[in-house]
Amino acid sequence: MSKDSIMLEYLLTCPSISENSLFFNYADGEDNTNHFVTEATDVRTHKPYVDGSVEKRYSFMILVYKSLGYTPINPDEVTNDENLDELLEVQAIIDWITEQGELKNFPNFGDKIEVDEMICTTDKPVLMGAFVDAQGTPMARYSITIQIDYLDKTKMIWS
Amino acid sequence: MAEVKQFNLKKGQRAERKMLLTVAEWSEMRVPEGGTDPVATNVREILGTRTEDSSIEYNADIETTTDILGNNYTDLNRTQPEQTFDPFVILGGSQLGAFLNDIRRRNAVSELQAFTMYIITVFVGQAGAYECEKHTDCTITYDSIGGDVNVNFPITVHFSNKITTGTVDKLSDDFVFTADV
Repeated sequence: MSKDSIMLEYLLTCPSISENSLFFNYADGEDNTNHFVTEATDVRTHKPYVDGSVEKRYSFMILVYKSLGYTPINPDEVTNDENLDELLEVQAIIDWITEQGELKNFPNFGDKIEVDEMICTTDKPVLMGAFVDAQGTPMARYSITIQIDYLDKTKMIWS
Repeated sequence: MAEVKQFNLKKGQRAERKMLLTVAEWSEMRVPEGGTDPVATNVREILGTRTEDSSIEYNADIETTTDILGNNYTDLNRTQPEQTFDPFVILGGSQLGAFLNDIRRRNAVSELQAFTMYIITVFVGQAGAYECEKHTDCTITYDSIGGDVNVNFPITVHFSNKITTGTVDKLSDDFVFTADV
């Protein structure tokens, strides 16, 4: 299995992702959908070690689409806001990834790949703009970038 | 003088760093599977995990004199080969790291002097018989412990120069060393 397939399976164990739809490399999102978007890594950032193992990075982005409400903040109920609630729902993905990284509950990429670290590169979702979808619903697009550093032992000659 | 074996590389091909291997061998007490009492067990581990750059420094002790005609005469008294592995991070599963750390906490430095080191040159020989030099009675010292994010425990191997040349049959911990005749 490719790393992307393994990662998709892994992400589906995240409650905040599994309770909504997950798409792969499909950018045109609807409300409450998550989109796994692949990223490329510059091979010159690979770090070879003298034993033949190589430190590499695997990264990807999750785009999350949420419909937006157009209701002013109620001074008496500041925390009761649709847009704020939806941001917190997206935040739950970051929190889950961060927790799994701290617990070392990493995706299993096989015997020859040792995952060192899994992090979200930002502590909050990045708001990548708002738009109106085909149905006329205002939507927000949030992004979360995830980086996994791992040791690739597949080219080692020592077994 | 023995016959010199040529490199097993294509003309102009550079040897990758991973083709020069340093392997440590030592003895420690372990309870065998299914047993109850610990027995002396030989353990091997390749060095260089998470180390980006490491070379064997030969530290040649030379004395050069120049006569009145300007000719240089160099006496090579000895070499004292050493190899430093920095970083040598504390890693789960590292048997050598655990062994050295146990010595460190007991300050049992005399136990650092009983290593056998194998230098395997994978660029000479062929599968089933790669050239190797075996140094007995070597010393491994730990240079420091600490660091920033991860615990680093850099080490230096001091080779004994008590060398037996030979070959190894495979590139894994359970290789068999066969001395040259």
